[in-house]
Amino acid sequence: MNNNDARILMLINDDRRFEEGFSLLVSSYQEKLYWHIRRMVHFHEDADDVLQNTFIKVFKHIKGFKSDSRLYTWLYRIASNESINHLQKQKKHASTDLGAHLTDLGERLKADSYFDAEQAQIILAQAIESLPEKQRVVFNMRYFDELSYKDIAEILETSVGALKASFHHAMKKVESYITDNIDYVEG
Amino acid sequence: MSKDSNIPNNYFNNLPDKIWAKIDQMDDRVKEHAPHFHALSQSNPYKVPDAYFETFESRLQLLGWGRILSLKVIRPYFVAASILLVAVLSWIMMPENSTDDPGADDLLYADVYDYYSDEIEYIDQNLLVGFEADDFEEASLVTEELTEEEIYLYEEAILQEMTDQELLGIL
Repeated sequence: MNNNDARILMLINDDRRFEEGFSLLVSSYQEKLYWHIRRMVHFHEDADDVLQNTFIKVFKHIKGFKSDSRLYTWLYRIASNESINHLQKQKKHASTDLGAHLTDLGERLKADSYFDAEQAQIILAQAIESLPEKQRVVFNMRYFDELSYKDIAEILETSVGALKASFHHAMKKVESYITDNIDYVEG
Repeated sequence: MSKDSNIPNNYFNNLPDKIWAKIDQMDDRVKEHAPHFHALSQSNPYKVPDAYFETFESRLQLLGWGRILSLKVIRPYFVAASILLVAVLSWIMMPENSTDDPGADDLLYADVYDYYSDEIEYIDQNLLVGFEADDFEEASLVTEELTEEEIYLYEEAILQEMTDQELLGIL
């Protein structure tokens, strides 16, 4: 456990300094968790909601946190679960057809003021969106968050071997999607 | 070299490690294996509003953890109100307590339940506002109302967390 996490937990376990500890936790992890969530849900408003829900859940359960797992892997697990829950709630109201879903995502990103609406970046977002949710979590954690397989295995409670296989399969699919669609756009 | 076959000793034992080592090398060579992805992933197209991270914690306090603190304070009152609701309904539904009101016989159980549910919800909202204003001096929260879903989720959480002894204590 790093010194900052140890300090956060020390403060949180002292009832008189609980709020100080929780503030330190939020300020230390808000950006990392935000970007992890944002790449899952794409839109700032959704990411903001999910990030708030993540910290509220952390707030409710931090007292029961067992220090046999590391604080940041526990936080990433909550953020990932909250992101997936959010996406699954959205799915109930959306098209079940992947093609239609990706087209809709592209249109919404194009209109989003918090997204650099370059066509190639939309294709990249669609390529990652085409992955199943759990594979997307693995892909983003490994590539964008630069977490080690060991850490991801701890977060998702799975084996390193399964994660490596998932990541490489995902990378192939993403590259293939981009190749097909960039050609289409350029052609 | 093995005498029984023309493969090195322990070849199959060592094979998985060799494969993983190659896969790990591929991780470091995304540029070669996924050139389009690598090129696009170098820039971040997602943007955040100005000062979003600087103000996040204060907004979280107002929207999130202030509410949880408030709900922790009203927890015993909420449970007491729920138990009172059950007791009132039971008393009303007992045959010896039926009234002579000509309309009363026509009321369905569901109508009575709905009526009291509405009343309890109304009381809870007022209780919440009262406690927030008095105990935490967070005037901005007074204007906020919890949604039905939030109240339902907290009801569930509160009842699950309480021990039998705590419930009996309130009774």
